[in-house]
Amino acid sequence: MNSPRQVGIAPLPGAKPYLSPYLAGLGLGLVLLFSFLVLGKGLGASGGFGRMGALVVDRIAPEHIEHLEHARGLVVSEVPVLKDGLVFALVGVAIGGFLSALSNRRVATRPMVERGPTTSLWLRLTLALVGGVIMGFAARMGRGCTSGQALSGGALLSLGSWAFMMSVFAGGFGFAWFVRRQWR
Amino acid sequence: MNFPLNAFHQLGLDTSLLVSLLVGIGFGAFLEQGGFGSSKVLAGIFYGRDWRVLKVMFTAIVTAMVGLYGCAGLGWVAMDQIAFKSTYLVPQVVGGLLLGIGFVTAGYCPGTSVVGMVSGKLDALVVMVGVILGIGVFEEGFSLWGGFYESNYMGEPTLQSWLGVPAGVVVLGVALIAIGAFSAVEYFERGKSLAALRPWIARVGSAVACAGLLGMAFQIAGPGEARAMTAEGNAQNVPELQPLELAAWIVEGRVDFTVLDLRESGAQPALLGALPMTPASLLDLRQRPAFSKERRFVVVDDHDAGLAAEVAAALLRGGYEASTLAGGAQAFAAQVLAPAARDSRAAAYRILVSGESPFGGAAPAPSAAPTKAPPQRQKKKSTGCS
Repeated sequence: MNSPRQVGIAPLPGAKPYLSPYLAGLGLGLVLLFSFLVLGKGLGASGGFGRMGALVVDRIAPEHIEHLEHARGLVVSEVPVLKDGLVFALVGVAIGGFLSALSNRRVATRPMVERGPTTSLWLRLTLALVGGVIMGFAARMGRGCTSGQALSGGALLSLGSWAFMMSVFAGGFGFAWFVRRQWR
Repeated sequence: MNFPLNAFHQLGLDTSLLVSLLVGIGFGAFLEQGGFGSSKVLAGIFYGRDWRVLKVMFTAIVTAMVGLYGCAGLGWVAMDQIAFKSTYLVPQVVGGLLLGIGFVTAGYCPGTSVVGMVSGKLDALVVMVGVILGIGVFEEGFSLWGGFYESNYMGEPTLQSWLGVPAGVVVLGVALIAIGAFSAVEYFERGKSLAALRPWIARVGSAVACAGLLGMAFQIAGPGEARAMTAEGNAQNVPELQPLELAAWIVEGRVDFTVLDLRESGAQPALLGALPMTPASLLDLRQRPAFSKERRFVVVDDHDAGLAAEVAAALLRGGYEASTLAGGAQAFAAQVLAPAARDSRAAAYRILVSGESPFGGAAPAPSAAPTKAPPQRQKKKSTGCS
């Protein structure tokens, strides 16, 4: 068992330690506040994913998207499906995250997979895929994910967002035991 | 101060997209700084190993909450023009539970998987693919769970409206709960030593407590009414349209105007061809039909003061032609709909609505919407993490 102090340090050689979580949270909160005051709405991640997915389906099987009520609404619009704040924000997250990781030497030089010392590569990647699918479904059912509901809706003090946030923690803590092996 | 700056799309699509990009860059950078580019850190919270997720998230929530509600208390921001989230309680609880299960399984949440991917983590890329597939699964099977998804709709309640207390009390309460949670995890991380906790309490605890107190003070002592902001000055020079004139326009079948009805759906009297709108739905390009600058907007509320004048003023600022209905829907009822109203325009409107011709027989059916407004897309406000 690692001591709590060591867990947060990235395993890459030469990587700088992370910022104090309270300072990182302060920065994140100020970015969110800026978004509220300028755009009138919060942040979001899964909405951008949905639009990218809708675009892919539209390109591969345009006749199929006619059956998907919500996706069709995104594609059949005067504004192109990717010309949307959620998509631009998601691209921004990639840019900002990359610049920050790069300047703190936290970018892996070769693609790496974080896993426990005795965990097989395929177990970890399988769990990543399965977990991703569950989250994609859950983000649509809950009308948002940790960024849009828990963070943005939480700061607005929306009732549903707080119920969502508590449920995320309940689900995570409740299920953690079943997938603990991937970190061992 | 006149926040949010982009109320009614004053900034235009291109500028707002640029701002979204900048917000995203800041978001991604601080997520990475917080350590969220690593699934080990993120999953650590669920095993009690690493509480960074809790600390970063709650600090961010308290910061944004105090800032926003503080600004609202000072009268700088119109809260009714902020896109609040609708609550569908049980679907959101189920979605939250599933998201938590997916989170601990994948080691990332949807947003942080992007940060992990650009940090060179292959598993994060796999998570991103999974998220898109999962959204696809939801859309494909929508007929199976669509009914449940739309159930338990509660409007847009906040913790303060639900508890029936002033917003400032909830702001302070959330700040205090955050301090409690932070103190608890710091206590355990520092080897259950109160002595080691003391300098921490002095710095972080007092900062959060001061922020919460300030937020509460502004909420309670400030003007409070967010609408105070626009009431001064710019909402006063909004042109008014007389109810009889509006009745005549509708009877003539003019198509160069749109009535925006801000009242609750189903409010009486109903206005022929009016487009139901809330200030929040006006904010959302996807919920709002394409507005032409040539079109004239008539904003209707129960009365003409307050909200209607503000929305019209904001539309005017955005370069649209807009006016309020003089006296609001109540005046329309009195001057046009009341049988005692003798004006020929009022009579013509009543005939149009009742579908009866004064010459006997049925008049041509009141053509559904004289305003030819494109159909409004239904309730798709939060598409995932919007």
